[in-house]
Amino acid sequence: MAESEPSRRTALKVAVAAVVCGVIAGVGGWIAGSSMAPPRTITKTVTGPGVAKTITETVTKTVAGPGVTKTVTETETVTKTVTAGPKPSGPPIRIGHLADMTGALAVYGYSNNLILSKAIEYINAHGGINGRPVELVVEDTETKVATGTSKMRKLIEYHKVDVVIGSQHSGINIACNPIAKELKTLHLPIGEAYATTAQKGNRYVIRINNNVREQVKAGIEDAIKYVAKKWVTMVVDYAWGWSNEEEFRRYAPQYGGEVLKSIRVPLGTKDFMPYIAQIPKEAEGIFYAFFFGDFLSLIRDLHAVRPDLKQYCPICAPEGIDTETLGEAFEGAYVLSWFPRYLSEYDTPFNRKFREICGIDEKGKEAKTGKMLTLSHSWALWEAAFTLKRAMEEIDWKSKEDTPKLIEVLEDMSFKESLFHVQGEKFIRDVDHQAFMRHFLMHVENGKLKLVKIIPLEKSIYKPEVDYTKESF
Amino acid sequence: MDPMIAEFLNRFILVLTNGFIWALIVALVALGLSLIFGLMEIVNIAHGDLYMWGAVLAWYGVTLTGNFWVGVILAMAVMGGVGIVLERGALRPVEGIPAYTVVVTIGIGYILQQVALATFGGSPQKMPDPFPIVIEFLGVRYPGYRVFVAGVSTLALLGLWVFLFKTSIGLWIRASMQDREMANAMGVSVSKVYAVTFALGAMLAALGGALASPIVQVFYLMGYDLLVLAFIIVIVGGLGSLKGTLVAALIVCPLESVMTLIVTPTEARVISFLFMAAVLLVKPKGLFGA
Repeated sequence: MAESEPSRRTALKVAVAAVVCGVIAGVGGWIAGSSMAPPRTITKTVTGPGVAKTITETVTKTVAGPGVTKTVTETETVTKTVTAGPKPSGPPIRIGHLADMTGALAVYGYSNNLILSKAIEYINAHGGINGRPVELVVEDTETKVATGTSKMRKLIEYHKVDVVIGSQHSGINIACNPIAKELKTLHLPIGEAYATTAQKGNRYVIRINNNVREQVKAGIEDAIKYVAKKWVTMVVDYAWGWSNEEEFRRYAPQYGGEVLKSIRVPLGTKDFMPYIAQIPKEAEGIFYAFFFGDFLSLIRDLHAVRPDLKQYCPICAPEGIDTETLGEAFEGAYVLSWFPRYLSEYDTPFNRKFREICGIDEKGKEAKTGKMLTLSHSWALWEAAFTLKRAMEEIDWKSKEDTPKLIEVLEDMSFKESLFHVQGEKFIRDVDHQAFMRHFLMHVENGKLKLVKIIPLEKSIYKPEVDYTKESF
Repeated sequence: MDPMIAEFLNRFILVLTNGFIWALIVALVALGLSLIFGLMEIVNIAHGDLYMWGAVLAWYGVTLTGNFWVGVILAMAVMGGVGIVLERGALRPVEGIPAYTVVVTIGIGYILQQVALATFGGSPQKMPDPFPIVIEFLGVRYPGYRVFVAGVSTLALLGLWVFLFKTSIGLWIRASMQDREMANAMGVSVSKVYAVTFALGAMLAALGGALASPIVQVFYLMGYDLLVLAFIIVIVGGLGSLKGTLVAALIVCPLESVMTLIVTPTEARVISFLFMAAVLLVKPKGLFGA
């Protein structure tokens, strides 16, 4: 059979197609900058846990030009690792974060989780733990005890985490402590109620941040020296508030202070006036423990009705709030802080580096979003991650079976001030698993929290009431 | 005078003044609740959340413009509109069946709260002081904005009275409350009256929220506390009785406030409940219940 010749019509079609292709290619080349340069598409994919950044560049070259009827596409993949430090490998070590992402402590949850994830990112970029990558698993407590305990179980039983850090909520801490023991998992609570590492703790619970007894004890001498002798205490009516009231009443008389009256106010009280009306006339100073809105309500009405009262409070009161917006109501107050929020008040090279890594500005806000962080608490999450790294490397952690060894090495561990322990030197006391550290007395000047003095860690040490080291695993 | 007695008197004046100021704010919210129940038999569980949104919108208004009145007007205008939409969109089918309205308004309340959580956020905000002076009277210092708030509330209550008793819409509302069928038969558009009343109730709640916002913290769950108090007042006053609501507010709030001199404020709330129970024992339909 003879081959059929292409008809004239077909030939015309081919010719028109070729011309159209040429025109399109020509215009494309012209748009790309030069009619001779081929257009390049570069796709960058960043893979790998944390920062052992493997950048994959896919370069697609399209060779085309005016009058060229053939299009050639070449794809070239270049993979290069851009950071120093070995890439962690093997099965990941899983760290659970019991975070208060929503509910009353949501501001803490956001800040804590940000700082912890930056720490994990840093660890992964620097070889992980024992060369293994670290994986962060976050569960939200909704700042509720019932949800917190079920999320604690979920982290351990479902997500199979090796260690649990958090929450910030003392009630959740205390409720989760027995679960840690039951499921043989190390628990690093971040809340501050005294009982968490006293009557309500156990061998599986280690607190690397400070508690209310430490805080009150550390600050009391200066409070009486700088603020007042005759006091009234006003606290939020739940465990954390009571703890503050009890400790203040315990230590004030030892340093020549007198507590005239103690007033408890329910959480979220709409109007502080009836409570302020109860403050005795002869009181000189007020020690209070509230946070967020309660604190704001209190200081405004206090300023109107009793501007003569000198204020002293733990950092928890103005935490997460830009004090420069508070005006006269908070001016002159003394605040006991666990970590100054302004870089200028604690300008160490470690603090600078820490803030750079975490993206925190000089006022303690997240640089990217301008959100006020809860830095006086969130430092503990940063240090928790590096404390675990050091302890796990010391015992050559293999699996969760090594938890008893991990706890033993953490008991009596001490830390020098460093990038990883940016808050300052500290040590974990073996018997009650409580860490001791320095505190910072701050004074509100023009709305800024200015450092008055650093209170050395010795001031915060109290007599332990429990001995967990006698408890078997 | 004995200094002990003088100090007690000082405190007494402080808490009594405070009680009356709260009575005026709570009366606004409770009157809205009472109007809505009296006319449509809607037990509005979402009323506290309308109050909350009043505060939230006022906060936005003040934060954006720096003017307190802009906040108040914004809160009332928006919540009035929301009131009409809610009445038409969600409550119309269940009006007159109180049990159903409870379920529907609980749902509305949750939606209002969650929308506030998603937009306004979960942390409490403090409204800048619209009237930052301190008034000193008989040796008692008192924040000026609270007195200012009391003045505005009183004006609003007078305005409400004029609206209900001196305008034709007010007459229609009262007529429909008294006898719905008859009012309808006389040519009153009950459907319109319902929408207007619900909007009015929502606006009163919003006004209460806006006025309370400099005193309390603006928070997406702030409605609960007030809702409980508003219900105590509406029940003590007699369901649906506007006069009763106002009188009850002026009794319950100062009583609760003065009680805080002797017991804690939490126990004072318990006393309010006991007072409500006592009133209901003697007068089961409340002080002015029909």
